[in-house]
Amino acid sequence: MNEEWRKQLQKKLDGHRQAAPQLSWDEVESKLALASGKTQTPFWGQRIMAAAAMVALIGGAGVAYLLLNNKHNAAQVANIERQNAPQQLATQRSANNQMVGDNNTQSQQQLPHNNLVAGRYITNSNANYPNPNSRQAQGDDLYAANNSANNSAQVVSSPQNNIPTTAANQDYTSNNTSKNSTDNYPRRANTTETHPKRTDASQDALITNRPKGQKGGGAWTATAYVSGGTVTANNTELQRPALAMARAYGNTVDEEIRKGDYVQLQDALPAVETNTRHYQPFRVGAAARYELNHRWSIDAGLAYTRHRSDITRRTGTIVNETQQTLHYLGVPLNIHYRIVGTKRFNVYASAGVMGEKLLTGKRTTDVNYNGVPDGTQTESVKEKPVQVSVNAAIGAEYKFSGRLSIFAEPGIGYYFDNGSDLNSIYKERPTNFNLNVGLRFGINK
Amino acid sequence: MRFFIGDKEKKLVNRLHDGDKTAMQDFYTLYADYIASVGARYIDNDDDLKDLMQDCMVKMITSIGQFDYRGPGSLQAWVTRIMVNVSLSFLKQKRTEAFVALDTDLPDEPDNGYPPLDEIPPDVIHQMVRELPTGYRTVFNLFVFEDKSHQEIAQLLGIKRDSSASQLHRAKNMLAKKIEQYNKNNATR
Repeated sequence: MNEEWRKQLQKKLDGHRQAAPQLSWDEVESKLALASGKTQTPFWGQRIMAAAAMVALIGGAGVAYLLLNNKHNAAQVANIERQNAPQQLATQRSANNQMVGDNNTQSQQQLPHNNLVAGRYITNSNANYPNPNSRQAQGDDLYAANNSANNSAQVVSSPQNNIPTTAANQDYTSNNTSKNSTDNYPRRANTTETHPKRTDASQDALITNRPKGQKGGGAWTATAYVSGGTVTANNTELQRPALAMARAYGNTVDEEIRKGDYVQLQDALPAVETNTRHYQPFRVGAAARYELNHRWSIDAGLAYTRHRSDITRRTGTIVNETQQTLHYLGVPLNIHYRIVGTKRFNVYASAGVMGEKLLTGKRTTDVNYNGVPDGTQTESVKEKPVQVSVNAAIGAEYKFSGRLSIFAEPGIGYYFDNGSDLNSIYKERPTNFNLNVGLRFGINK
Repeated sequence: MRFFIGDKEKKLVNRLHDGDKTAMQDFYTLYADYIASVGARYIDNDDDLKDLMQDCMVKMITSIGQFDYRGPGSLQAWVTRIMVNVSLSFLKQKRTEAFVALDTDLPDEPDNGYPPLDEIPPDVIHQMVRELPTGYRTVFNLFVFEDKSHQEIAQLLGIKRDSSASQLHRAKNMLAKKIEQYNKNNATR
């Protein structure tokens, strides 16, 4: 067929429209509802979000419960009840009731104090993260993390300057910590009496003075860390257009055509070759950690993560070089278990969940046509679903002084598919190794 | 010709990616007539066309997540491809006899030439294409509008390469005849 005539026909009908048959949107929607089995995927993001919200809610409720019913005191009540001799039951019950009442009063007094510390700390973290100079080198980021960690220390340490350490408190500590031994039983009454007299400050001092390795809890710790590495993910994808007129954009959606009787065309248009290189995300974070007892602790915080990817797309002689930068802000919730520990050194295991939201993202594309630069396009990147991940790590912590310790946590994380089509390392390598390095500061010790 | 370029199209894609329901309706409003036209080139029965448009819309909406915006016109190109694929699938399944007939050897036909198209409105050409027999029409559309080679058409429709060429020749001759007739009628007026 005459090529010119063919082009004329093409031109004549390019973008031609005709009145669509009587097909209303409602009809489309009803068919869409029928096919909804296939459309579940995008809603996974919402489900995961709901699950994450539940976890956060339960976690938050747990923390609130712990604050209101200080673990330290609760353990004591239980202990006393367990040790009651039958003949003393009636009297002891009334004593216990009184004590529970006292505990409640005290918890309420203590609550604003803890909240204040946590609140200040988090505010401070917010001010420091995410780091606005996101393109800086890792060295700078480390500096920023240290800097912010120092700031945290300054803020959080101020309310704690006047912690008294009294002999009475020491005595209380020893009574309390040896509560499981029967020898301690006669001293129980004494404990009950002294307990209501304690002030907030003395309560804090108690925890501080408690020797390591003994049962206890209630200590708050501020954590600042950086996470990064040298691992990258590379991917090369060769996509051939199924129909030439479709200009090789997007993916082939029609499985019947791709797999069925039709043979996919190999030489209709030059194939699209995409090379993607995702660099290891860089993360800085801060968290407030609460010690449940000497083994278990939980933390919650904020984490800022920066992703960088280089994407090169070749279609024949057209080369698009894209640099993608994504900024995520996440809320991690972790639980830690101390495996072994000495006065200066601790080894612990951590596990946790994190929900992350894309704050902002940018894609800058340099277009090269036949080897000649053909302009630069910049577009912003959006992602609606929350990215949920789970992680586990082993941590080692070294304590410099009473307040300051340094830690390193090699870990592994898994990022769930959130249904978005954003090309990131989370999608490319859902399982990711990472190393967190940071500092911890005791707040109320 | 494209309905909209650059930002507008991109914004619509973003809204679709976000699962915005009104975006789906906007998408349908904007593309329904275009999809109808692409489909009508392949499908001559309006009831079938309606069903296939419905399939096409559902396919597009459910797989919009796989669509990656690649610049102006990419959404339209994607839409075209889906509609063509849906139509071909349908023809392949329901009208296999049309393609079987394609493989029967046809005696050589003299070339009717290439009559000028300038004076013919697009709607008329479109209708003329629709009136071609299904088998001829499919080959003609794939060759002319989807830029397929005979080798590709043969693979797509499961026919011989030579059949594709002879079908195209026949389709072109039929169309040329119609166009000549139209031009003649038009000139006499």
